[in-house]
Amino acid sequence: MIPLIPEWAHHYGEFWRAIRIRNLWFIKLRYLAVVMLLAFTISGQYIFQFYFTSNQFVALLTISILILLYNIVIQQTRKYVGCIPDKFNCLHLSLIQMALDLISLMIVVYYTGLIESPLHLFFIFHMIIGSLILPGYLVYITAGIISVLFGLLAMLQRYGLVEKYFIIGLYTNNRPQTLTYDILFIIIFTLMLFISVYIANKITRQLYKREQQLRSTLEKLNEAEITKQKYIIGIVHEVKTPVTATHSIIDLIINKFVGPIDIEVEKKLHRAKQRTEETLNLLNDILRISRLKILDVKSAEEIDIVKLFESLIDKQLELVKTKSITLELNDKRAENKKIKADTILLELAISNLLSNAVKYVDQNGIIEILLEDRDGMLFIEFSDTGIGIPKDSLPKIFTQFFRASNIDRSKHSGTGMGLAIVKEIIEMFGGNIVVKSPSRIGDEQHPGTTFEISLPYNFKPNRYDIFVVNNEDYLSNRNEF
Amino acid sequence: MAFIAIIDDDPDILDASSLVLKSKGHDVITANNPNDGYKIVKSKKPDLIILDVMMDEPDDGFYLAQKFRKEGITIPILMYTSVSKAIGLDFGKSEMVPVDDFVEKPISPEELVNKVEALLKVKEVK
Repeated sequence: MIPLIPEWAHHYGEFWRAIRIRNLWFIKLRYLAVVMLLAFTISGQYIFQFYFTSNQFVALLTISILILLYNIVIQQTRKYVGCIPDKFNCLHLSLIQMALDLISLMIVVYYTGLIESPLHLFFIFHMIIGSLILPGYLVYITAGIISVLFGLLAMLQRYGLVEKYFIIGLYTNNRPQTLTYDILFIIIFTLMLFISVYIANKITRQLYKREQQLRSTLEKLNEAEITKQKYIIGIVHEVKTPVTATHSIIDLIINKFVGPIDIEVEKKLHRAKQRTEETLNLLNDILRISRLKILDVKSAEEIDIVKLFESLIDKQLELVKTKSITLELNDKRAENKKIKADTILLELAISNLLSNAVKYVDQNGIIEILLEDRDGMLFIEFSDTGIGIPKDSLPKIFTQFFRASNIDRSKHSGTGMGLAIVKEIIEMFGGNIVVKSPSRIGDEQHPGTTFEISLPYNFKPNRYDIFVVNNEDYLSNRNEF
Repeated sequence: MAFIAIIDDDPDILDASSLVLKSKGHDVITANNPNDGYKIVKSKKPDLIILDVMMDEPDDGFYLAQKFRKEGITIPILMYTSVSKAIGLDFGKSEMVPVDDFVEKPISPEELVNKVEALLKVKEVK
């Protein structure tokens, strides 16, 4: 296959997407062209007195039908043409379309008077379109061929070596015009073609260059983010090491491995141990979120969401019982459709929400989990009758290190990282999470919180990477392009 | 009782672990870097190895464990990790990580003793 594609575009999804969309656009435009050509021919013949010769009339009708036929063929094949650079791809299809169009146009122009044809302006239009998708050299060659062929035919026609097909009804005096007119016309026509190609080409190249710059900037940004997260991980580990050691030593003393200790000292040591535990929890949460940010989710497995919920609820059962919490899981979907995601991450997100609910719900509280299908996505509603979230805290609730203003810090320990992690994970799988307080089931004393999560069933890793071209994806969504 | 080698670069962790294990009647030998750790295991042939995953380099513990296994040393290895297992992304027991069990830092004396006893029991059965 002829390498039509610039090197950088080989794996550049947007480039291929644009080509495919343009191909479809050309097909639609071509149907319009057929209609217009037929209208031109028939109205010229029967309404406007163009005085087409029978040859002209038949030729124009035939070419209209030919354009229609090859357009149908292209439209059908288009669906099976992918975006693999080394094989026959959509760019080759564009090239074939352009060649067919130019041949048809040349025939139409020839049968309507060549130099005198009002239709020759369409050549310029084709040159501009060609410059948008095809490599420069190909378009220049095409422009050269058209100019030479056009000039040659005009001269041959003038000296009677090929049949003349002027539209007699369009002129008041005799054709052809003077030789000077013809030569001037051909020169200007050629110039027009090349200038159009040059300008269109230049603009397109510049646009592509901009895109390239954008792309490398984006890559650099991603790299910087990863470097930043790795730096954080490194520092947190360094800080964690001495805290861990301190914790171990305190534990050792409390457990009397070093010898008997005073009861008052033991109390203080317990307090010290608790404080180091808080620090460790915070450090672990920071590690978790940094790891999440540099994690490239490459695989997605099928998950039975009901089972996942049940197993996570089981883990909280003891606490649920001691607090006499009513916990309900309600699957309202028609079928238990499996969801594609990473089990460990999804578990982490949901267990975070669940333990939050259990933590902030009072004695005899209610936790209700609803599963529904909404707009082809899995919709999870997570409501409780806990302490709720004050209005001023709601917008910041997913921010790292943020804890709502109504939390009694001596009663509920926490790092303020849990919900940030949840949001990070849900968004990683193309989902969305919103928070509402008071919750759907809350009352004045127990306002509670509702979390609404929507998750696509078919999570595709790398979905947001516009720079990766996925041939399979394009072919399976062919109707969208 | 058993003879246990502890390899960790943090002197406080070495100290704390030794203290706990000695109180249970075990003999303990320590090393504070992978090289010395390798040497004491080769020369003293302990019944159990306790190995920290991170020493000078983040994966030192893994490499040392792999080295032991490659050389046919089948002594059970208990690994200290400081990475939260909750996220589960880092390691599990597999070919890549040829260890028998993990203890997550901070180490609780009780957990350490339990895991050590369990591994020693398995060894006896074998």
